[in-house]
Amino acid sequence: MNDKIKATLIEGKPIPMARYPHVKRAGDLLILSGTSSRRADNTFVGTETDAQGRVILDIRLQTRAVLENIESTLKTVGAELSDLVELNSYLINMEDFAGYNEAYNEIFDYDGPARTTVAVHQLPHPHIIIEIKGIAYKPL
Amino acid sequence: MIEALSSVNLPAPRFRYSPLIKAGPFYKTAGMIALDKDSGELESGGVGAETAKILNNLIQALPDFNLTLDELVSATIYTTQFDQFPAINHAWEAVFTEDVRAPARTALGVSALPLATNVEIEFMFYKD
Repeated sequence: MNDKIKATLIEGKPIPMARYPHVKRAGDLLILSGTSSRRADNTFVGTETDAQGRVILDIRLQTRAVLENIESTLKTVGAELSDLVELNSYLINMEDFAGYNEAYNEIFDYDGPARTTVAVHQLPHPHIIIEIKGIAYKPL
Repeated sequence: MIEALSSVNLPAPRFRYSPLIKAGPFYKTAGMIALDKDSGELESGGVGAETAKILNNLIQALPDFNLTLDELVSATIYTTQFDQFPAINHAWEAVFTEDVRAPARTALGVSALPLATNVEIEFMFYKD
């Protein structure tokens, strides 16, 4: 067993959708699995049902929740948002780009992680409109 | 130190790219689809069979790179059939059983994949 590799499944976080960890250390890097706004009880931040029964999905709330989830995952393994070197963001709808950036810019500035954003066809739940994966650099 | 690696136990790339590239302690595969290494044919049994084929292709080639699943740290899955996500997870969990240390993982639904396949997976390993 290579002791520079470590998988961490974090108690109190939403259980991954199959057998994989929330975060995996690979030497000096911390690799985060795709993270959404899913709560531990399998509900989602940024998902409201209005009086007419319509589901309202809020990109700002979801983006903030995803970044908070990422931050708490990093803290569990002794790292912080400032240790991130790369983020890949997946949106369902590129029309959410402005709202996503607005929430993103509350957290990061131009010295933040390198970032790539693409729109994809589907994410694992119809209420998820953003998912982010990332890599942090936190030397052993 | 960057090295492009290949294995006769992987399906031959159809375009000019490295099936696996080593950058220091990190090994990154190209996106893998469910090709048969001998016939070059695409697995036709659906997303579950495709996922199993990709994972099996990877496992068969690992000894040629002197790698093991234990050193797998990241996987990104792309599928055009997210409604069949359970079949992907079923094939995944057949390999990543409770006693195997699984990689960090991200799964994405996309609108199209090369050769009209349904599943593509890219992997990263760490070995220093």
